[in-house]
Formats: sequence, structure tokens, C-alpha cells
Amino acid sequence: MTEVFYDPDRMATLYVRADEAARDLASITSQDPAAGDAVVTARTSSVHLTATMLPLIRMIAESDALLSFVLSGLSGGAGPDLGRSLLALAVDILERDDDDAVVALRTALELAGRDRVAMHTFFTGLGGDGVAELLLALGEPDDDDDMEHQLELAVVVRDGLASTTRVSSLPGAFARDLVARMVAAADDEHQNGAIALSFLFDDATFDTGFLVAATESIVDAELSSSPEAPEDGFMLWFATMQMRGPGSVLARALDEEADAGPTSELYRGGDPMYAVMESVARNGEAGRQLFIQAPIAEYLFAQRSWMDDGFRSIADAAETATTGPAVGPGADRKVVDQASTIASAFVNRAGSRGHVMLDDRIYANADVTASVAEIIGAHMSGVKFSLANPEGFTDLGGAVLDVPDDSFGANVHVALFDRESLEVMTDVAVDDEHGVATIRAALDIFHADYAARAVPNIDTFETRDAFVAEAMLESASLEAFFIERAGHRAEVNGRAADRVVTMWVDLASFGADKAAGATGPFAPIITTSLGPIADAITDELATHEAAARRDAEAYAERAARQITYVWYKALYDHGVLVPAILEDLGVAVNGELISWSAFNELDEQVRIRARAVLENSTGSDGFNLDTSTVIERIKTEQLDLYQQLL
Amino acid sequence: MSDPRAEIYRSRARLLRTMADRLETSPLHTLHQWAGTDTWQSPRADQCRDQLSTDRRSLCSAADDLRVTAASFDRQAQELDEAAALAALAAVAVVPRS
Repeated sequence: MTEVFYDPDRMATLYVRADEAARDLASITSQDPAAGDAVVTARTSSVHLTATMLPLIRMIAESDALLSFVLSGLSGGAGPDLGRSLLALAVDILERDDDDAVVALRTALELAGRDRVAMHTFFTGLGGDGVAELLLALGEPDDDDDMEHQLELAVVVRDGLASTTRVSSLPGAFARDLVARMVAAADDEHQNGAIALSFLFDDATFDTGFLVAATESIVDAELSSSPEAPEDGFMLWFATMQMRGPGSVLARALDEEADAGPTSELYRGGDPMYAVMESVARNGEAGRQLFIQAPIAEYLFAQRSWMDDGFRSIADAAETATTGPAVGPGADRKVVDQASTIASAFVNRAGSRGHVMLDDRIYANADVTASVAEIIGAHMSGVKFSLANPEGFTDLGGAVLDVPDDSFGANVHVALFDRESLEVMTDVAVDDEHGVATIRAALDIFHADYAARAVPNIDTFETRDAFVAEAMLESASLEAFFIERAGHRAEVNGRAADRVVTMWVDLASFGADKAAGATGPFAPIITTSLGPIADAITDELATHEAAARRDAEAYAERAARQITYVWYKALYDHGVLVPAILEDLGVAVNGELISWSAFNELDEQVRIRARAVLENSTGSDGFNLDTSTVIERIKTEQLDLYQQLL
Repeated sequence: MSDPRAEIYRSRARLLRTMADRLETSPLHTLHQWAGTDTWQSPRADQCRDQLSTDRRSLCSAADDLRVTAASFDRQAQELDEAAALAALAAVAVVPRS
């Protein structure tokens, strides 16, 4: 049996030498096909070191018994002593421009990464301004070998800081001091504060508190730089964007795409707000803490320029903050309220930008459309309430309506939208087929959910029949609002409006069939993931050409019947309407009406008969809905719409 | 006279030899000094040492192959030059007398 033995000092040297060998072998390259096998051999040997030997040494180093070997050449063993030793190396780099210290600190930080106390001591000792100072120094161009080492250390410092913020709290002023030092270097020819900040937030996951504090500080700095014209706040970084010369070493860590454009990290690295907002887009709680602050929401949603990424990052961040499981059932009420308020603020404020949101040279693109469609779709109840109010809601800061919610035992906020802004942002949401499909899916879920929740409680309404009839008409109005705008956008974009109408009418309920049925009490936000349903709808549309073409009247008829069927289903499923023959016809199974999609698969004679039964059925306790009148009203409204679009 | 293709072959041969030198002087070849049993002993350390030996042999073998290929490129260059020289002589020989 092999005796287990380690010499910490020799292993530290082995680590450094193996790392050096791996990098050397990985750098061997050739354009000559005759050297192909040799290049592969060199790369394979490099991979053996990086995938086997180096991780093994790191793993051994992280064991308690051998942690001290990290300190080869340093004083101190672990914890605060180790942190102070790391700090001394950083000081050597900053004060004496010591290149050896750059390599030594990287190795030591990599190996000491699991020692939380050491890392905390290191970062608090350095302070936010010290970390900024170190990153700025590492960004200064030097000869090639040194720059490679500088970048490697910068990555280790960034990742170490990110992980330290997640496991232990840094002083409250840390993020603010860091940003302040970076801002001070915004127009430095050699140090580049903007690139350093972009680098810091690119590909790193910071604790929510740190991310929020840093973002607040950047917003403050931008607004302070242009108090009279907040729309020019981004110009704080303009000097960096215009710099010539070799540029920051840290820019090498930003991905460069073939075409400079909105998806290139390097292209937009001169303005750090993009990398910051991409971080916020991965952290919904950070987004809520930021966007619930009216001045920040006003600045970021309505005023600041996002030309370099075409509004993508801010729309993505707003989507993460206002949609998804984190704001659904089981979430804290405060979180749900914040999400509704922010959704309102986003639509109202971004919508106040007007036509620039619809200009494909500025902000109109598929990514923004997808985000806005998700936000509006998730907050469909707010759209319904807003459209029902003829006065509209003009508070751009995030208007909400208090709605009773049994799950919270209190009122919850439902997002309300300014009519004009809602129209602009709805146009953004339906600017392509996937966006239309997302809204279609959201409407299906909303209608089914609303009917399923309302029907069990219709006894509380004095005129139950009238309530249901009114609800059907409201559903139709909501549908009309969206299809009118979707058809209009299709025409503006040179797409066939009849294709949109086909998707809208023929694939109605397709989304609801894909989504889980309504459960539980009223929730202000739809948290079903709409994207996959929208994908399924657009896929279905691609194979839908075989369906018979319809004229406007046929579409209107079908749309009216679909809208009313949602309510029939809720009424039947809850025992308000119970004609037994529906089970015999195969229209109902186990006490529930089949889905609209399944209904349309039935033989036409069966459907005609079933419709006649439903439209003329009377509830056991006298419920009597005159749906033929309602259907005619809906059909007349929809007909006018489809005649314009077809 | 020299065939222009000959210089390309010679240039490729030089680069292959340079790469062979790099493979033979890689820092990997000195790692065994620090990876011995006086540094660490364990089954996985043994595996690392074995892999290291295998990789050293592979690099040396790859360097040898590069040198063989380089030598063949030099030969081809030489043959092209000789052919070019013969062709030049032949051209002189057929020039008509005035």
C-alpha cells in the first residue's frame, strides 16, 4: 500500500512549475498542417496538467492539514495571518510595480480561495478603493508576458471578491468606495475605470447587497456628472470610450464578436452600466431593490441612453425583477407588490420614450420584444384593469391597484398602466411573431385562470348571468386591444397581417392547453413560463398552412366562440351548467369540458350540437346565460377588426 | 537558379525544427524534479507521475517526427533547386547561335 505523504513547500513549487508548463504547451500553435500532430500532442499534455495534476494539488492544498503550504515564501499560515500576507503582496504590486508579486499573489489567492477568513481579511484590508486601485494597476499595459500575468491575477481578484461578498459581509461603504475610485479614473489615459468596472461585473456573481450598492453608486455618479440633462449621464464614460492607444489589459477578458455591435461585450465595455445591468438581469432581488426606487427607475427606464446594446440589458433586468417563479405563489407579499409596481413603472416610463422604442435603428429588436412581451403577459391582470378605466392611469412612477387576495389575507398590488405608454410597449411586445405568441399564451392563461377563479364565487354577484356575460365581453375587448396592435405592427414591419390573425384565432387556447390549469386563489402575476408556450405556438403556426383559409367573418365567429368557450368550461367544470349529454357526445370527460383545441378536433356535427346544448343550457339553480346575444356582440366587434387586417 | 517552391519548403522546415526545439525544451521536462516521491506520495500522485512520463515521451516523439519531416522538406527543396538548375542549363544549351 502506498504511503501518503506531502511536502508542502515542494508542492507549492510543483504547482507553479506545472502551471507554467501547462500554459507554455497550450500556447504552441502552427498553421502548417505538417505540425498538426505535434500541436495536438502539446495541447493534450497541457490538458493533462490542467485537468489532473493542478486540481489535485489545489485539492490537497485546501485540506486543513496542508493549507499552510500556500504560504511558501509568505509569512503566516491561515486565517487573518494569511489575509495579511496576501495584502502585503498586493501592496508590493501597487507601490513597487513588482511583477513577481503579481504571479505570487495569483497563485496564493487561487490556493487560499477556500479560506474565508483570509479572503475577508485581504479584501477588507485592501478596502473598496484598494481593490479598485489594484484592478486599475493591473489594467495598465506592459510587455506581453507581464500583461498575461496581470490579467490572470485580475480574474482571480474579481472572482475572489465576488465569492467573498456571497459568504461574508464587507463594510457598507466598500462598494461605494470601489465605484468612486473607478469613476475618478474615468478620464485617465493609462488606467481605465470604465473597462475595469465592466470587467468586474462581467461573468461574476456578486451578493445582492454589493450589486445594489455598486449600481446605486454608478447611477449617482452618472446623474451627478450631468445634473441638468440626466439623459447625458452615460457621457461620464465618454472620455474612456474615445481613448486611443493600447487600452486596458482588462478589456482582453471581454468577449469580442466578429461584428462590433450590441452583443459584443468589448464593444460596450467602455460604458460599464451594460455589464452591471447584465448582472442585475441575473438577480431579480437586486433588480427589485433598485427599480423600486423611483429616481433610479426614472433614470434607467426613461432617461438614460442604452444605444450600445439596443435596450437589451435594461429590459432583461426589468423582466427578471417582475416575472418568474420568484414573484409567484409562495413569494413574500412585499416581493409581489414590488414586482407589480416595477412592471408598471417600466411600461409607463420606457413607453414614455415613444417612437424610439419602435425604431429598429435604436431599441426595436427581438430580445427587447421578448422581454416586454413577458412583462406585459405576466401582468395581464393589470392590463385588463388599466384598459377598463377610461381615465387611464397617468402616474408613470408605478401605479398599482389594491386587489383583495385570499392567499395573503390582504390586498395585493396589481400593476396599472398609462394608456399611451401601454400602447407603445404593447407595440414593442407584438413586434414579431414570437412576441405575439407570448401575448396569446398569456391571454389564454389569464382568461382560463380568471374564469376558473370567478365561477366558484359568482353567487356573490346579484346578477350572475349578467356578470358572466359582462366578463365575456371584457375578455373580448382585451383580445381586441392586442390583436389590433399586433396586426398593425405586422403591416408596419411588412409581414402579412393575416398570418398574425391566423395565429391569434386558430391557435387560441393552445397556450392554455400547454399550461397547467388554474389553481389556488387570485394571483396578480402570471408566473407560468410563457417562452416555451410561445415557442410551441410559433412551431404550430409553421405547420398550420394546411388549415382552410377563412374570411373575416369566419375568423370573428371562431374568435367569439373561443372566448365564450373558456367560460362554458369554467361553468361546467364547477357544476353551474351540467347538461349530461355532453359526456355522451365526448365533449365532457370526468365532469370537465374538454379543451378548446380538443373540441375543435371533434366532428363538425358533434360540435354544432354541443354548442347548441351549451348556449341553451340552464343551470340547476336557475342560472340562465343568453350567450347567443353575447356571441353576436363579440363577433360584430371582432369582425370590424379582422376586416381591417385581412 | 532556385525554384521558388524550394524556399517555401526550407521555411517550413525551419519552423518545424523551431517547434521541435520548443517541445524538447518545454518546462514539462523539468517537472519530474519536483514531482518525485520526496514531494508527494499517494496513488493519485503515482498516476500523475506516470502521466508525466508518458507525456514527456510523447513530446520527444513528436519532436523527432517534426525533425524527420523537416529533413524531408529540405530534401524536396534540394531536389527542386537541382531540377531548376538543370532546366536553366538546358535553356542555355538550346539558345541558337547568331
